[in-house]
Amino acid sequence: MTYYDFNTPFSITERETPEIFLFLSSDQKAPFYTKKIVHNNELFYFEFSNPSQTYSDITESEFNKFRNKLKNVMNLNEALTLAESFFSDAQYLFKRIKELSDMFDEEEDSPISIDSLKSMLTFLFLINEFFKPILTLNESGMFHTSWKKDNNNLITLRFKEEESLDYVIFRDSRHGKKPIILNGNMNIFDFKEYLVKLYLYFEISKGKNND
Amino acid sequence: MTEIDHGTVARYCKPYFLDENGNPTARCFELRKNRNEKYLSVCLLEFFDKPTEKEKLVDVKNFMEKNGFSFKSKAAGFALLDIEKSKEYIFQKISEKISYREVNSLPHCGIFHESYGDLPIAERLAQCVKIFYSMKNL
Repeated sequence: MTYYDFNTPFSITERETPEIFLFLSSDQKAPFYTKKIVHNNELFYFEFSNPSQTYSDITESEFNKFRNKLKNVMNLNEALTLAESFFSDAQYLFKRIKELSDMFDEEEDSPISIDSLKSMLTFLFLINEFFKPILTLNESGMFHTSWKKDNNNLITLRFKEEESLDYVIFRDSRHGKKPIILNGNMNIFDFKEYLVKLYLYFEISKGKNND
Repeated sequence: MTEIDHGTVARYCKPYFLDENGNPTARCFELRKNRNEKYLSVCLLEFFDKPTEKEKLVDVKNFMEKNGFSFKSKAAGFALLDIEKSKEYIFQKISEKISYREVNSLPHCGIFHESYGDLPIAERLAQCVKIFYSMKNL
C-alpha cells in the first residue's frame, strides 16, 4: 500500500514528493490520510468516504463520549459543566456563553436554545483547536460564531437543532469585483468536510491536520 | 408603503447582538423567523427636529417607549445606517436590492429585502453601520 507523507512541506513539487511506504498489520487502522497527495503546493482530496476523517484533531472515542453525554444534557449550566471537562484552553468561550445568557431576556424573547448550544459545542469540539470566534446570540436564542478576517473574508455560523447549522461565507473573488458568497445549511459534520474541501478549514482551526 | 430614499435610520441593538468589544454584529439585522418577521424595524432620524444625532436618538428612545418598548439594558444601543449608502453597498457587494419603507407612519420604517437567505444581508448591513450609540450615553 502506498501513502504520501501528509507532513511534507507544501513547497515541494509533485516530482520531488517522497513516497512513504507504510506497512500495517491486520489489526492496525489505516491512517486517515489515504489518497491525499501533494501537488503544486496545494492539497487535493480524492475521497471523503471515510467517516473517520472527520476526527483528525481528537480521537473518535473521545468525541463520541462527549457527544453522547451532551445528548442527555437538559440546560445551559449542565452543558457548560460538561464542556468544561472536555475542552482544553477555552475558558473564554464558557465565560462568553455565560455572559450572553445573563444578558438574554427570556421574558421578552424566545428562550435560549439548548439545542443550538449543543450543536455549537459539538461543532467546536469537533474542530478541537479553533481560533477564537466572535460569539453572539440572536433573538430566537440561537448561538452564532463568526471568524472574520475582513468584510469580504468571513465565516458566520448559526447553530440549529439536531447538529445542523446555517452558514454564510464571504470570500474575495479571483475573477470579479463582487465577492463570492456561499450560503446554506447543513449538518455540522458535512460542514467541517465542506470547509476542508474549500481549503477554508484553517480559517477556523489551529489543528495540525487539514482533514 | 412609501419608500424612503435618503436619510439616516436607527436600529435598536440588544446587548447580546454585540461583540465582546460592544460593536454591533449581523445579529442586529437578522429577521425573527419564529415571528415570521418580514422587515427590520428602524426609525428615521430626520423625522425628529433636533440639531444633533444624539438628541434625535433620545427622541427615538422616547418614541419607542411610548409605543410600549421597554429598554432594560444599558449595554444595548442604536446602530445608525445611511439609507443611500447602505442600499448602494448591498447592491455592489451582493447584487441584492433592499428598500426602506414607511411602516404605519413615520418615524417607523422597515428595511425590506427578498433575499434567499437573511445571513448574507445581515452581515452586509452590519458592515454599513456608520456609528453605534450605547444607551449609556443617551
